[in-house]
Amino acid sequence: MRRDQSKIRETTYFGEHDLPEEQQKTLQKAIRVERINIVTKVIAVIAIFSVAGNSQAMKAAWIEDSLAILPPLAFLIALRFINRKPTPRHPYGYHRAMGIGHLVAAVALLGFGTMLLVDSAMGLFAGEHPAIGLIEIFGMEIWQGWIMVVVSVIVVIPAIIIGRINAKLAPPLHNKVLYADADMNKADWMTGIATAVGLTGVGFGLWWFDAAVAIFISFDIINDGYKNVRGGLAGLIDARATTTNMKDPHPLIQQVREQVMELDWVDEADVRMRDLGMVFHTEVFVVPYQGQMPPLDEVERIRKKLSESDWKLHDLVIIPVAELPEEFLPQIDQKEV
Amino acid sequence: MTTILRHDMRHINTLRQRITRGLVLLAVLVGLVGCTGHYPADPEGTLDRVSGGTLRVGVSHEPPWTDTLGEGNSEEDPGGIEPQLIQDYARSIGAEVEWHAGGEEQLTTMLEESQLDLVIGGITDESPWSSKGGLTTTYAESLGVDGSTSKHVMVVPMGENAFMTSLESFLLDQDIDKQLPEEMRP
Repeated sequence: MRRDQSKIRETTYFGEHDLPEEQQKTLQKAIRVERINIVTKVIAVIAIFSVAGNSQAMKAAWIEDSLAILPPLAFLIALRFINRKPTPRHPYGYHRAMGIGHLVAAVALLGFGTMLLVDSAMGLFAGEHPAIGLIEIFGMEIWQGWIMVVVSVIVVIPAIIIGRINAKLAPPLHNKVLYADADMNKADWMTGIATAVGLTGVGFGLWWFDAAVAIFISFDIINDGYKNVRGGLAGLIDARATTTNMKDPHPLIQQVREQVMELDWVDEADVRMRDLGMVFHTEVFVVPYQGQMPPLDEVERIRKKLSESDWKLHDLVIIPVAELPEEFLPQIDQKEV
Repeated sequence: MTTILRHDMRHINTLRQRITRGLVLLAVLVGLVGCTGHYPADPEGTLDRVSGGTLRVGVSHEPPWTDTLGEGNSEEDPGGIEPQLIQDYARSIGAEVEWHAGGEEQLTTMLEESQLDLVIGGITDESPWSSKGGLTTTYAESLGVDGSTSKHVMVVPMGENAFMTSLESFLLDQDIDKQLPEEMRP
């Protein structure tokens, strides 16, 4: 903890990118939240494991909760890598580590949803009637269903809180692992509530209720998992930079282009921006007006100005060309503007 | 920023819808309590059927728990700790016991096909038949010849939770240790 304190005072670098104060604070908060996240998930797995007995549904629940440890773990490990400066062997730095982390988190999420669906659907089609009897605790006879309901609901509380915090922290840090983890925590608490509701239904003699609720929820989780896997893969194969929720093109693409187009020595310009995980790699292609290049000082001034306009833009190059490369189509369709 | 905000709003809306949906479901469930007398309930109504009716019990020979061969015992009228317990339980719910003697596998298959309501025979919680029926909670423990402890259970139809908890509740109130031979007491 003390080491973290000293880190705040200095500037945190992502490779050559130094973080503004707001992002540094957010990052430190994210690190704390994800550490707590791992601890709560480990406790949850142990708690569910110990009440699971030979209940198939509860067995699935603790395996799913173990999968939920992967996103925060991926975040913390990736963070260690992206702090490193570029080296001769890694001239682009280690930013892609966060992209890999996102893919790991996304696959865990998709696996979670798929497991829930397959497990529940198999139980439903086999007509499995869950047998839940009594248990004697300190001389009291309690229906085991209630114990399972209580454990599922208690385990859900940290997931709701952490999911909400992560959903807030992800956009300012432009961190998609946190975003995927917010989805994972949502999946986690939805499953917990579903288990509780399902078991209550089983208590009323609706043997299919547990499985039906789980299937209903699994579609939502699979959808989130699919969206994140797609987004993670898109980042790794150099799709254009997008917003953290992977829906829209990142506004910086348009912003940089507009700033360059405003210069009087620029005739045409376009921007190629890819997402390295948390920061971008940006190439600005400019066609100088009537082929007349401005002095080198001016180009350097613009490069600095652009790259300092946002912390994600520090790796930015300006490439003067006679005409815009044909294969290099604009990243923003006109209809998207 | 606006796109993010809009996304958040949608999120909150679907959340609200989900909570509403959940509450409606809960209301429906609470409404169902009136229909069934038991919680947890039986999907197939086993407890209601056997109460005041016939309890069909599969018994496999495993002294001292069950005895279908010993003196004074027969396949139609087995002796041992468990048949005695079941007779007492049946009396408590006003049921007549109908015994079916056989091997564990045959009996659990009959249980799975709803031809029996209960299978006994010194079965433990390590039983491989947990896929064919529900194992009750441990109602007695015994010491094996090798010094290991066995946890004794009975097998009931899968998911008939009213019947299961009714039987379990009865079994947990009995003092079974005293009926065990000295060397088998844990």
